[in-house]
Amino acid sequence: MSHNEMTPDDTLQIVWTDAGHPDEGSLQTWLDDAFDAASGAQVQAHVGGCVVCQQAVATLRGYTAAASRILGALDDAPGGVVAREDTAKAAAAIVAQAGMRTRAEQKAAKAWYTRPAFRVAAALALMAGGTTWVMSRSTEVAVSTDVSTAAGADAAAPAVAAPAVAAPAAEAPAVQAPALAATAQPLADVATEKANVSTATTPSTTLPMAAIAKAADVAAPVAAEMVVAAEPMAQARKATARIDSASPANVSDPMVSGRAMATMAAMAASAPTVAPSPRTVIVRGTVRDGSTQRPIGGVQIQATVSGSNAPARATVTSTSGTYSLPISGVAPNASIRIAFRRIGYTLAVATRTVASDTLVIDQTMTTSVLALGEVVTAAQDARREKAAVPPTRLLASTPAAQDFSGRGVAGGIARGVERTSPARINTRNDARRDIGGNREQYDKIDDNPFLVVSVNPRSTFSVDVDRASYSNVRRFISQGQTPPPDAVRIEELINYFPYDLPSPRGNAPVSITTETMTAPWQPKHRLVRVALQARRIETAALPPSNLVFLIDVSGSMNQWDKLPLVKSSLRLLVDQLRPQDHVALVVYAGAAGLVLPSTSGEEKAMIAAAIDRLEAGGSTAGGAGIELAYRTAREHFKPNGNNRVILATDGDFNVGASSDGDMERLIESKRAEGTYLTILGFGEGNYQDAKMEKLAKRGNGNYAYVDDIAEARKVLVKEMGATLVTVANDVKLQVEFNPAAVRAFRLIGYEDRLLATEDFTDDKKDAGDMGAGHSVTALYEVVPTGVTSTITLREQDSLRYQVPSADAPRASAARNELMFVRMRYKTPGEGTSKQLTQAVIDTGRGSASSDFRFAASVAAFGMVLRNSEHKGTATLRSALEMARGARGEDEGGYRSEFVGMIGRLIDSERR
Amino acid sequence: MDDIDRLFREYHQPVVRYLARRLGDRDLAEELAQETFLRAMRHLPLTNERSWLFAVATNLIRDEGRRETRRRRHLEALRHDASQTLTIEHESVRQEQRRDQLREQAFARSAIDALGEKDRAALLLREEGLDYNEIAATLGLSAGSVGTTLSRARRRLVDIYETLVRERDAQGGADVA
Repeated sequence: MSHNEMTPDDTLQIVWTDAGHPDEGSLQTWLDDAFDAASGAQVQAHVGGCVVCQQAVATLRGYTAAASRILGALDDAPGGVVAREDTAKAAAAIVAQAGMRTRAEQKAAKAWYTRPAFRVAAALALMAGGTTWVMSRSTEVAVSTDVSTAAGADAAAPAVAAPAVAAPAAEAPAVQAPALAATAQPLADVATEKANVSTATTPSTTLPMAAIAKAADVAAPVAAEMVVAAEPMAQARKATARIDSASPANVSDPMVSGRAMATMAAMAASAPTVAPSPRTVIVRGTVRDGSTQRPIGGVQIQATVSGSNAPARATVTSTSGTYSLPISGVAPNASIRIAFRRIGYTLAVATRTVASDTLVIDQTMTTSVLALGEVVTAAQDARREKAAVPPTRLLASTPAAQDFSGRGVAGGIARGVERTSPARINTRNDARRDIGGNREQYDKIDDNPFLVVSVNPRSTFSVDVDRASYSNVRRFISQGQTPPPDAVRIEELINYFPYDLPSPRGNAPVSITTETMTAPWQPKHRLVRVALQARRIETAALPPSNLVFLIDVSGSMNQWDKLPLVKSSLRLLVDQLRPQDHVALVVYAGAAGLVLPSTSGEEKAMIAAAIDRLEAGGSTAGGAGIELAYRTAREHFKPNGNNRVILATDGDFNVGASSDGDMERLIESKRAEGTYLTILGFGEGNYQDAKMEKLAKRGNGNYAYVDDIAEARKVLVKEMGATLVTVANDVKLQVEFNPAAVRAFRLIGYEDRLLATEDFTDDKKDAGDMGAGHSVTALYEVVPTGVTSTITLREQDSLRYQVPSADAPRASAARNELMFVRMRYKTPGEGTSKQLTQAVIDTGRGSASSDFRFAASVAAFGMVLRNSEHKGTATLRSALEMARGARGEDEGGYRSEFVGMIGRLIDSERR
Repeated sequence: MDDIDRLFREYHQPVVRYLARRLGDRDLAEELAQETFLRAMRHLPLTNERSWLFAVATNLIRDEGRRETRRRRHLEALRHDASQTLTIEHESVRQEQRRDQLREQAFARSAIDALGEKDRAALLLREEGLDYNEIAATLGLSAGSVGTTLSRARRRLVDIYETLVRERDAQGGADVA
């Protein structure tokens, strides 16, 4: 169908009925705000004084909201496919109830589309549509001058009703067509439309029933084929044209109908032939583990086409192991070579000849002891840098040579990184510039510099339990991009991973663990780990939460500070949920729908997946949404719990069928039932402060404006903390370095969480909170006294009046004491802080834990991504190797995923 | 490059949703959306981009009808996957909820499938925020008939859906007895 350009004078006109009301279409047009101002005002004036039309408008609104809700249900299907089972039977009943005559015996046991009768019915209806259209033209039924199938079908509809219902062979299938049309799509659509229209209109056919029935018999064998293979719309058009040339009188002749059928059949036979020119081929399939047959996610897939010098196309399998890769410009009979790569598996290659538009390649992969993909990587690099590096040294850091406990890895990596050539670093920078067109905004991060201990003996910062940067970085890499440096927050990368830390003892809510090792990227420096572990507390006694999030997903939310922020805010909250808490997600836009039914806080992955699926689009209709949200809250009402609807919107909250007043009354009545309302405002420009505040006040709730993730944490984690389990508020860390042992230090990450020294003891100064089970890791890179020339320090004159503490160390301080850690926190609900302390002694001996080495590898990875001036000898490869050697037990597989991710980045940067 | 980037950001999700609702198959929808944007790339700059994109997507749906047989096989495979997933989930207490959700989806699917092609397309395009002129241009209708088309489509969708639900409830009672 052609794409017509609209002419400016194509304005919409109100159509008035004989009774003097705007017709339904005009009311709908008015409701959809499609009239120009004058016509709109005219309809409005009429509706304002017309009870009949008010009723009609209310009905239309109801249908609009309900239709949106029904359509919304289609957006969240397991496996991405909406099943059609279960409905064939029921579909029969619908039509019966809708007034269509139907036979009682439905042969529901057999799939509808396998029954020839259906196909005939479809074909018949199509044919009849064509024939009666011809007839209706001669009787002045309004038909657009555009001779399109749609217009023809429309005009034909009334006349078609009779044949569709009366022809015995067609009867049952036509009835079932509604439920089933999707598979035999457009052709069936035509039939279905006829059938549907017949429910509303009086049959007025002049076609002899017997002729139609006979035509059906003639058509049956060919029609069956046609339904499956034909290009229905084109055909319908051609068939229409064909019948057009016949005179109306002849239409009743079965032979004519039969001829039309035969014509269609001929076209059907020719329709599916494939043009022998280059085309787009879709390669798809599932990748499974050869021994377990489980699907493998994250497999890198690379396709090359024989005889083509087009660049390789690549994708990655989903978590269910599936992939789909369109390749354009493939010559007929070309062969496509697909390489499957996954760390931990042997490289697999499949080569197939293109036979059709789709190539299904299911692949199994076998596990490898060596991570083969990476060895290949290393070998290629070796070639590139052969002049500088003897290959034997390189091999020392390949996985083959690596002790899986990770001992000695740091040294190996440190050697490895010396090989980094300036040329490679430039390549990285170029890659980074490529994403300059990206609209995402990141605040600039300046790496913390090395500070001289004699001048700055203390380092103070607020803890940060965010981990959003990691998933963001992962997203970039999975899309084959290098993340922009400012999107990389090293502390968030490190804190993403669970570590095995001791639980706090006594009454303290948080434990402090420290450890030291050689800095992998600068062997003369020491790396110090300060790790906090919050208590994992029994939460059974706390009241359960029943939260229903009502999320605006209208088009206006599609901005970085709106829906994406809503999603990261929700993720923060999900981390806090306990098994007895329930959370549900309801969205509204054009559609209002339950995205996630009330789900226990135990099923975090399921909740997170639902959050990830949220997308913005459509217009706003909040009325249906808020009713659905309250209904969901009501269904899972917790008598002693916190029952709350949380509305997240940019304020463009259109109440749909009811007025603001109705909305307020609804909210008030729900409050009386014990369900409260909290409103979170997001974004700028569209934000309706007053309205939000008014609604929230009615709901006994609070409302807050969320402009960044820190605010979201404050609102969702801290202030709702009465029910969500925060164990320590305002957690601050201060580290004092011993000038006798440390010349300079640098805090890795936490750039935007730094506090002034005096803020540490100021209880009014806000800082990060820790929830039950949270852990926080900070890494310091320390330059021991006596080490010079590794860094350029901005040396300052030492203080004139301060006695250098090196001259008078406290008696209690050991000589090898590197630093002293102080942590201040508030017990939730209290105003004054408590303090915990721990000294860090560096013996310089012993091996670091795998947790520490892993955290160091993540830090190195982050510094490389940030192209930090302090990254020393760190490279992606060295980070990869260190991480791989420090995976430990890797509960949850997070670390393996990290290793795989670096591998992918290395691969994509090489291309 | 910047133009396609912006176009993609702005319209990819709506186009995918439109296609997915229409086709009942998310993978296929993603694929056709990709093709839509590839074509857009070749045609930049577009004068009426939203309308253009949805028109191309609508045409691709039609083309897809030709690949009917193959697609059915694909659907069967995916449905098989989905039912496997379901089996695993059955072990949890959410079984009931999940089944209800699936059934509602199937009803919604049936209802949308039962609409005429033009009604269905108009409704889905409207849900993605296209205005009357854009819908008319995409589907080759006159703008004046869009209102009627939409009200009819909605009414029919809801009636069929609700009848299905009622029918299910009635049957459910019978099954128990």
